[in-house]
Amino acid sequence: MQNGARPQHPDPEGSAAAGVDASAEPDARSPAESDPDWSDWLDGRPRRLKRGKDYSGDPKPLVKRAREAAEGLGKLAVASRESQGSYEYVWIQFVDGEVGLGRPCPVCGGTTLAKVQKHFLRCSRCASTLKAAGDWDVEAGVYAPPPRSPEPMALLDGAEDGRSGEEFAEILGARVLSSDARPIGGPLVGQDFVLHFAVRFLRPVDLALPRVRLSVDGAGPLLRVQPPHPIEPSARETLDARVGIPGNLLMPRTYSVEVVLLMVPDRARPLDYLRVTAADVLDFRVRKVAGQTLLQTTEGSSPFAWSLEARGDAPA
Amino acid sequence: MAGHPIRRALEPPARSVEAGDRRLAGIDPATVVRVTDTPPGVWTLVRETWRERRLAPRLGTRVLLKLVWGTKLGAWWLVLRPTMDTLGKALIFGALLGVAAPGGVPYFVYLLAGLIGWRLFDRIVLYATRSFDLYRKVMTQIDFPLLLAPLSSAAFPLVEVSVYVGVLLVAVLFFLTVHGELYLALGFESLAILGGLAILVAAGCGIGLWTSVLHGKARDTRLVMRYVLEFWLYLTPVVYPLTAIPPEYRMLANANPLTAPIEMVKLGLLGTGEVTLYPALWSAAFAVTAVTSGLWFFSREARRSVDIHGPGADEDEDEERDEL
Repeated sequence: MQNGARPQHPDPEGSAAAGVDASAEPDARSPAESDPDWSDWLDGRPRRLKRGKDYSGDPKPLVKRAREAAEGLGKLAVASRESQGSYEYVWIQFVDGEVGLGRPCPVCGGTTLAKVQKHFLRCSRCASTLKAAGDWDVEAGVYAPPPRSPEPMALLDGAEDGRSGEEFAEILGARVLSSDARPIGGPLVGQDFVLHFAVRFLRPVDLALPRVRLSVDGAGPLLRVQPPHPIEPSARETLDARVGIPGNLLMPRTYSVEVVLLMVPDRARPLDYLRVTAADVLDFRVRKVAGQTLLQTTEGSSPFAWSLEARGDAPA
Repeated sequence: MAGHPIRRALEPPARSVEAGDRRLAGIDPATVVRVTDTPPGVWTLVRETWRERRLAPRLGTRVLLKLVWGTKLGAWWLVLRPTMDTLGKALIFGALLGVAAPGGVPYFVYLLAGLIGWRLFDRIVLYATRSFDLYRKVMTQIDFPLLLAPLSSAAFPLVEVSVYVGVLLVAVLFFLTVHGELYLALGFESLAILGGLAILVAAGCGIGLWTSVLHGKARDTRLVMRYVLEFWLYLTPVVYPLTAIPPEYRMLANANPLTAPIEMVKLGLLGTGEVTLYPALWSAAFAVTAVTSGLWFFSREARRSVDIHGPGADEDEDEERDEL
């Protein structure tokens, strides 16, 4: 807890003045079976809970609930078990995040981190307290980013679910463009067109994979399109994504566009991916030209042409 | 770098490189992460510790419970240890060696008064020395000020000294009944005890700050300190009065920074200590120096000291391997 200022949180002494005894164990007022008010723990201060008083039996369920609560509050719970003879305690603390070796601050993307303790760092830019992912021993030094995974696509290829990632990115909107980049209401059958959508990254993530789904009249997805490789945004940026869609692929119907963005914030935890969904972000109609024959796409190579272009820092 | 096999496969270890290293060629400088290890200043250390002071009693109970856990007599050891310690020394020095207490005070009572001061200092140093062992697991898994570890370990000495005080009161009541004389000083001079104890606590904490860090670097420190303190005990007028030292060596005795505070405690409790101004000032200056230099050293080296100990450095950790 040394070296630099902490993030500004409500002052426990101030809350004491408001009628909350912050000097006591946080849930001393709670019966053993009920959880403390986890939002009080956002101050990042460590608490020690006593078995029989603050929890019963195995502390693992309590720690699990604390971790879930911390995750819901955008924090990370760290825990340590302590035995003193027949007395058992568990220490729990909410920190701001977890950082892998050579990775920037997951909160602000800052690349200067100060060692606080063997397994803790503090971001010099935003003062977030970070746990060393995997308990790597923090040592001073200059770290180049880890080599990119040769198959990052494998991380996200089968991903469908994932927890909400609205804090990490937002989908700004979508529109239909003609093949020469003019906004159009909808293409004619047989007319190649481009679906353009924009994504703004609010926090750095290691990997991101945008997907576009087209559906008709509320039925299941008729078409799912994704780029051949995920992108690796390293800073706050806005991404313009364009996917060229062959005009002969769609029947003359009204299509609803859903954009899904899957993200892996930290490669060290590849299974912990996030999802942002913008359902019905756009409706467009494919109009038929009289006497036109519809063609089928060939199997094999993708008929979709993707273009992903970052346009710098996102506005604050 | 530890980690799950999946993670290791997906994430090759980051490369530690020096600035200007040719391996940085081709790497976007904006993606290079710098980890700094600048020691916190003394003021930051103190401020952060004060902020988390509520944790000190919780940490302090660990020493207390560690002492009695697993013993048949349990909490009785809290009383037995001081009593046996005093009885043993009283037997050797009072009965066998014939050391006499000044002012007609029974030697047992006189010895107890000296031990109250000495044990406070002695125990603070010893438990502070061991504090990184006692709290290492929590210190590395939870982010809290490291300074709390040696300071919290002073909780047990305070408890133990309160037992010494209890034994002293019992002894005084006994001699009041037997001799009809109250050997406690109940006057203005009693205030001297506060000064004496304050100097002893400060000196103990100051030395403990040094030894806690040194013990992290070399576990011999704890063993060395045991002998040093034992030797220091007999250099200090605890089991014998200051007047027992020949006048030509009295200056040397007063050069011992613990002489004056021990005498102050005796004076405050029994009215028999010999307290003079310069030795008292010297002791106070020593205590202040010990605390300030201890804080400086601790702020610079404590983190590195915690890093040095690997898992299992403390036998107490074995029972707490269960990961959450």
